[in-house]
Amino acid sequence: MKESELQNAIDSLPSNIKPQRDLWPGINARLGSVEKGDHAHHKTVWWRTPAMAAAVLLALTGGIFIGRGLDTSPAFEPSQTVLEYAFLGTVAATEREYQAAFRELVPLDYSGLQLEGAEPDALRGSWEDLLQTETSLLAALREYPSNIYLNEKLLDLRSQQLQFVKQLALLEQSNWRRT
Amino acid sequence: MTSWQQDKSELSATENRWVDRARDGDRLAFEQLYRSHCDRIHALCWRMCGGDRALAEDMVQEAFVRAWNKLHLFRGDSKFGTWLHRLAVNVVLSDRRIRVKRLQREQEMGDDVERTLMGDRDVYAGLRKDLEAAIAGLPERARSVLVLYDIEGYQHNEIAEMTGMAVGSSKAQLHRARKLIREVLKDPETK
Amino acid sequence: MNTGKLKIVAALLALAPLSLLADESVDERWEISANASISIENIAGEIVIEGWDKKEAWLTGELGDSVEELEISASGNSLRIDVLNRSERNVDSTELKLMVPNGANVEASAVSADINVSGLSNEKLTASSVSGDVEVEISSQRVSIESVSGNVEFDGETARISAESVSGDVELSGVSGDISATTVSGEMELRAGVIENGKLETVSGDITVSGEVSANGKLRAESMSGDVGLSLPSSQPGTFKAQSFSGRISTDFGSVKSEKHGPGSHLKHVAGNGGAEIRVESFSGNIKLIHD
Repeated sequence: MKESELQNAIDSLPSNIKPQRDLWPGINARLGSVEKGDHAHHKTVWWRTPAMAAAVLLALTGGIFIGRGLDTSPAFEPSQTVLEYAFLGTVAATEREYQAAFRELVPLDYSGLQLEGAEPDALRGSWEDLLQTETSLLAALREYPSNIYLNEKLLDLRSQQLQFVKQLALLEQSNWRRT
Repeated sequence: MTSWQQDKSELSATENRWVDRARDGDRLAFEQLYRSHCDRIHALCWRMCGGDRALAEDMVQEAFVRAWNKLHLFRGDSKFGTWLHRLAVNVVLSDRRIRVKRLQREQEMGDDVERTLMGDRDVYAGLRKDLEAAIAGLPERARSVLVLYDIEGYQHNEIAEMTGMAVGSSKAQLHRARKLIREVLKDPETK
Repeated sequence: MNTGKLKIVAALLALAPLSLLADESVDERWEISANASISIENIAGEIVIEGWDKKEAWLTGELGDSVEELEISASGNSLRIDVLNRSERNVDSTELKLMVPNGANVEASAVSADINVSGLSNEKLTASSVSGDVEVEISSQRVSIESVSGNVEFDGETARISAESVSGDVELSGVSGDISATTVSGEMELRAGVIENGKLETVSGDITVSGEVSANGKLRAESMSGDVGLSLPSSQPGTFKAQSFSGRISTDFGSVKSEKHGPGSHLKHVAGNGGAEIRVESFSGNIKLIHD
């Protein structure tokens, strides 16, 4: 068979094929089990069962995944330059964005991840190290809110925290695909 | 405006209304979207699944459920059908069951193809059935690329992005798929 | 489906016959070019890859009970091996050993399986696992190794390496050129040659570096609470900058100054023509810059 004949044959295949039964009832049933959610918040819906949703709530109230934010606005020192003022403003804005982005990502507890043995503990340990750093850094910032170096470190930390959560997200997704 | 153009723009407008209402949680509106796109999505899933009817139906349902969940992310900068189609491709590609099923499917597939294509009274029905069967019998990656490129009209760079293979691999798989089909159609006894 | 038996499905291009195996061992060979592209994926167990000087790939190993199919695509210059399990829960360990031409470029990926690669002299290597360890001993132009909770280790030669873990350790030896290494809580150890562009980052793990930075090169080592120790030649030219909020800085290069306003200490020192840039930062970790 020539290449062109094959091409014609493929082109003539129908692009619509009706399923043998109506699939809507099955779809409709599954729509009911997931919360539509307030579309204004753009939640990434990761929990698939009520049990998991409860686990997320637990993780949140346990403070395991909620980070804390800058609770003081920067008090600009007279000795600081215009650039430094601008930078501090940026950090404050970034903090707000970070908190928002973080809440959107809201990861699960580890039960959904189907990870092997030591892994959840190891990851939890890493997350706790990140939170520990956050606590220390925020404490230092309360005392020295305009300290440029500390603010730079805070930006670094936020980026590391987001990176961690994104990696977890990828893990969770690839895990979900496999099950 | 010619009547054809008029119909097309009315259709878009109607569909946009359904999308907006579905986004707000209106299931009847979403059902209209389903009815409107179901056959197309089903054709895609059925071929990507290698003619496995049950699996294809599963994939179609999964695709629509996922579309419902992600509707808030659809911004209307492409057509809804295009967005839905891509989503369905991702659903299918990420379902590993398809790869595993291939071995089992060979025996049962023949009947599935027959039943699904029934009602096709075309003169070319015979060749069409053989061709669908040949496509269904391809190795999974080759089949995916052939379906996505030759039937669904994606470009190699899009296929590469969706499947995670290199653009070169996509082209190689297409070439391989067409070659295998020609061999099978020439001699139906081949595998 | 035949339980207890395994079908290896070789692509038609390889022209290898379908073989039914009585037990779960695998033993397959393919002719393949010297600089072929090899890709192998196994979820659990082990992937061992070793280079040899034949233009041949040889796969041996034990397949776990949960394996449905070993999907293989082989052509003259590429080989792709994928272990597919019946279900993705309760995956049994599959141990695979693959001999490949020592110039082959390799991509290995696993979830809980460990990956071990050695004996290659190639252009590119990528190895990633989720909870498994990744250990590589090769000579390569470009290396990328990562794990989430496993350790990543490299020993050999490379001009460009990216090494990542989240909770595992990162240990690199014999690297030079472009080096990017990060871990959150693991320890990081770098024994380098000449560094052109080094970026090392941890949150709580310690960083230990020995090497030298090229005349116009850059080295940045940062930790939050981990200690950072840099050992460089006493003749290392460059601009040295170190800063810590509450950690102690000790140095053989230049001298440490306290901050004028508030806590913290820093160091700035220019040696030679100052072309290279060496920067070390921590939040609470101690910093040590020493002559090697």
